[in-house]
Amino acid sequence: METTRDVMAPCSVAVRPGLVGRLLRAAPGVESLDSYVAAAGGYPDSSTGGLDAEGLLEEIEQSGLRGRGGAAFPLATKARAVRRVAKWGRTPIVVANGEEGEPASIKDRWLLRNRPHLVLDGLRLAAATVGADRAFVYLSDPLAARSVASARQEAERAGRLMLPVVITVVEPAYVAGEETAAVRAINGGPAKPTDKPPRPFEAGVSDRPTLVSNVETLANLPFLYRHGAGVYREVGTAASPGTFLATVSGGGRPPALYELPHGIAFRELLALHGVASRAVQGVLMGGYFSGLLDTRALDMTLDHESARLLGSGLGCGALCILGEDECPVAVAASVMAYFARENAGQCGSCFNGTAAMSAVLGALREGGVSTDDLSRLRRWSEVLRGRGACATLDGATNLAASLLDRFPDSVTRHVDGGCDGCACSPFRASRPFEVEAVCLA
Amino acid sequence: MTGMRIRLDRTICDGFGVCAARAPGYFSLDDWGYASLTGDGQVAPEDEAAVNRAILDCPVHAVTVLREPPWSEESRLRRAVRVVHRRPGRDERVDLRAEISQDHDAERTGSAALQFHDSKPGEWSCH
Repeated sequence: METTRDVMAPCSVAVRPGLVGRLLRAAPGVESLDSYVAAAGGYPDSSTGGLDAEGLLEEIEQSGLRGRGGAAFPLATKARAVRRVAKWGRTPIVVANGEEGEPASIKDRWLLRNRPHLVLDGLRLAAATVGADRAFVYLSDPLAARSVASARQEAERAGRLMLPVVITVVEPAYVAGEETAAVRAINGGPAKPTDKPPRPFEAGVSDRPTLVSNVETLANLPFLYRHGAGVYREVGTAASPGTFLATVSGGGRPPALYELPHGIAFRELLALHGVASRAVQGVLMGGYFSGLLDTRALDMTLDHESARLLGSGLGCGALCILGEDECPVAVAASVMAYFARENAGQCGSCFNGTAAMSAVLGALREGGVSTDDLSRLRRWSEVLRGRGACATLDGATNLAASLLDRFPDSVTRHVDGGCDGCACSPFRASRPFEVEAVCLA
Repeated sequence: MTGMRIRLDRTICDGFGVCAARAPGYFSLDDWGYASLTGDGQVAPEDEAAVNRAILDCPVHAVTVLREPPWSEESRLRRAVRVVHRRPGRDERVDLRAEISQDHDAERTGSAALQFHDSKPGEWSCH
């Protein structure tokens, strides 16, 4: 296994043994233009070369590349939607979304900090695909911003970038990574989501059709461009092709960033991470978004379909392992408190709903709730779904519903006031499984 | 799809609940009185008066009528028919409707996903 310590965030970084890394690289430090061009054959032509925009879009479609920001939305469908709107005389804009508000994920920051040319090359290809004349890199991490800015200068001087790239830096926030928040911030507003419609593909930056794509998604494009859809699909499953980046935290081990093929067994990842299966009590899936899974997670494979079959989601690839000594109720209470604190404060259903659910879970952790409170929590987890402009409230309902469904014994123990773990060492992390903080501590 | 389509901006809604009183079939309120659309915003012709009342009576103007964008299937089909009528007997007299519908087929899969993905785990998250 190639393992290296990342210079800026001391979090171990590894590619699954036997897999040739498409996104991660073993060499430490920021990848320069020369080494990117030498190693990956990057920025192959001054334009998209022999491959016209339609051809590149065809390759993307054939490859089945899905967005890596959490929604797993097919990139080709998004790009086609942008192009269709663009036919009405409005030149598209492309945005690389690198604002990783998810505390349990570090993949986008790693890519922006260490392989900025890979992201810029992908951004350039995406721009060619939809015919954009301007591109933005939207992020909050200062180290990533510095890295991208110097890479941009390097690429511009070498005549590799074919369009102006603007770097937009915002304050980090959970909701700032949502695509409409990116558009709103670039347009000069607050980095908070707007209600849909319109989606960015209809009216985005400067009211133009806008392709907002996660940086990991864009980082897949140079490989796809060079090798084609066939080679791209050699790794992964039919519906979740290619490799993905997984931020793994918890389980009593330091966090790590892995590049894995879609469809890898979760047990194999646990072995890679050095966590014994019997020590796993559950997993918080997709960062804070997709809720909790119990030990049934051990037999899943890591792709979107298997996660969905379990009623969960792979999301942005962040997996937080609940070790033996971690109480699921305490974790859920902390994450719900985070939602109640960090929501955009815009939609009434969300700021009221997360506060109410957080109050119940906080009381549950302390052993002071009635069954009425629990049935209210259950009802909110069902009726509040889909009632926010962005998906924060859905993340909160996923969390509440999955705790009640997957860990009924832990919940009952708390109602009866008998959780020994929580009684003697309350789990009060303000951002449980936060990777950066854990890494730098 | 034809007819009136509405949009509710939940970031603007202040929970007056007037919309649900005027057109209860189209708006639902949560425990705190904040509204969400019940359906996809498509309004049946017989309900247009009630929904218009809801739009006019919302104190914060959170409900608006959606204009059909020029790239929507409906707008394009309408234009395609016009082309056929405007140029009789000319080579351009091609019925574009089949082509347009085909063009939107791939899109439809995506749009359907766009409509429901907000509430399904694994389909969407903030980042």
